[in-house]
Amino acid sequence: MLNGNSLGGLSEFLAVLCILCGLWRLAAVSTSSHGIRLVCLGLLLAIFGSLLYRFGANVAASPLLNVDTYLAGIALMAGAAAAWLRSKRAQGGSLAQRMALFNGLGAAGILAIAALELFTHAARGSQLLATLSAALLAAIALSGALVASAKLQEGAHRAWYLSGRPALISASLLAAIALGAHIAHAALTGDATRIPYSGLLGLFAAAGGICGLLITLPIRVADLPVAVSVGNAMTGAAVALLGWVFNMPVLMIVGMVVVGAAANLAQSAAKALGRSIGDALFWDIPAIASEQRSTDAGNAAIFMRYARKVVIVPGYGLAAAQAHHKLGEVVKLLLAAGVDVKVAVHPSAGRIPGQMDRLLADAGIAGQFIIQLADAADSFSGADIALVIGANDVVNPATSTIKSLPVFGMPTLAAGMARTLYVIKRGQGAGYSGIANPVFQGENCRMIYGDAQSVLANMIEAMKRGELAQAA
Amino acid sequence: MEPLALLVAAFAGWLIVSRAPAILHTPLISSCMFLHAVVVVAGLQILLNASGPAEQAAGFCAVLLGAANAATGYAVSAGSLGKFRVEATREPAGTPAVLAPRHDRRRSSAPRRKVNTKRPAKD
Repeated sequence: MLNGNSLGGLSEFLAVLCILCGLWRLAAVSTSSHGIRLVCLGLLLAIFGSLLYRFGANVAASPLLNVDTYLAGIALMAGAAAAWLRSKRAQGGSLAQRMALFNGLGAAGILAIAALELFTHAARGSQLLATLSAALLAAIALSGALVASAKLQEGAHRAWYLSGRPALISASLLAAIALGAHIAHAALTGDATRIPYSGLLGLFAAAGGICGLLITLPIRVADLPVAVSVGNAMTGAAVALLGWVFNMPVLMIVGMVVVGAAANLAQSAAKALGRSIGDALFWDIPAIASEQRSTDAGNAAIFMRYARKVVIVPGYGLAAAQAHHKLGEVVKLLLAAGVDVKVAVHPSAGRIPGQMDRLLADAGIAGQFIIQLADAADSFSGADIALVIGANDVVNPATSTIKSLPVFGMPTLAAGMARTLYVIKRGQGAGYSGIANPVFQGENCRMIYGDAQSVLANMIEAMKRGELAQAA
Repeated sequence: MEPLALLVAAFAGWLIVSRAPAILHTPLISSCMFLHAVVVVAGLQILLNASGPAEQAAGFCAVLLGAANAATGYAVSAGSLGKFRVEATREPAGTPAVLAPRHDRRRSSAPRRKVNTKRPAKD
């Protein structure tokens, strides 16, 4: 016989199953939009499953049950409706900013629950410690989210440098932990009445908030994805801790899944910046930011497949590797995916004037797909992605500024103007002229190291795999 | 609950996400935030067992914030996934699946792409 509680257990089980399967589907491009619906279904199952507790509750023991049920209904409806309308209206606003802010919503909810537990002395023993930790994590995440969204709002692309940043951060963190330990000690030994308990709790939360503030304020905007992901993981950990306090498996499991996922995302975000998580959060920007960042061919191929406009710049590397047929195939695949593809040919690309046009014609790329140097000037600024294949000097703006160069005065293709620049190159060396290319060290540039032939083959494979998955 | 089970859950999250290509990282971050909304479950527990104004207030706040988190999370995640939606196939079999563009694309020569005016996040 199913009663309210076993139905609740069943719905929890199904909820976790849906959420895990949904995340799995989310992690692949072709199934991602089903995935988010499955995750949503899982969340709804968990929430409505927990509403079933109402029927397990003892009506005589809780005289306010009916009022409470109405309150629950109102809160669910009002919160969801307000947020839904707000996010609909803000269509076109900065996605990053909304994301940064909404990490704070969950953290604020956790803080509300933790505050209740702490102020009413409901938590005892190790549960008290868990509640305190959850409150600390949520406070850090909340203030971090608020600061992050404020930074993105102003568009203030400057960081507030603090000298001795790691020391300040650890000082505030230690203060919070010491306060927490004091509170826990007082509560556990039973003399909570002899200290200003509520005041200390407020101080504790404030110390956590200051810690979040100190971490997020000096971070430059480029590093914010790392901070947002770390805040995400913190909130997940706080959810799991609360789940432990309330003995709710679904909170624990979902919270820990979020911790794992967000930690991975933070690491990926940091790696994309060429830094470690610790560097991104606690240390200032390296004085010489001349590092070239790399990515792999498969990722670049998927970004190109979903781009609006891609401009390809072939160079000597393409000709040397005899990879023009592979390039022809890449162009064909991109066109089939509905991408606006152009190939920008510099007259001296490939070191022998004119040879590039012949190679491209061999590979079936001619006519409307080719843009010449004279017309290429503004095609890059409207492009989502520029793909440079084994070219260096023809995309080096330094040729117009440094007079000592052997190629001084040569007009170049402004590939660096594209939103993202991918460069296929065999190594980190300079081009024919022997000079380093500042464009390759830009914020928007990712290197793909390897021989043009094999990199393009990998790209074709990744795109075909995506296509197959889409058809299935 | 066993601490080991929690470790497995965290590892599962790590593994699932490590399979995703970089283009999905933004939707995945917002999906993780979407999942924080599970805190509503704890809020409901408190609210439904509340026997005083303090518990009612805290539970109400937690449920309200959690529900707002859920709605925002779904809107943001589904919105950022919109460009991956495969348009319902009203085309003859054999033609490659065409993406539904999310916003007006500044292109004139797009004979094969149909403009989908449906809003992507509405499901």
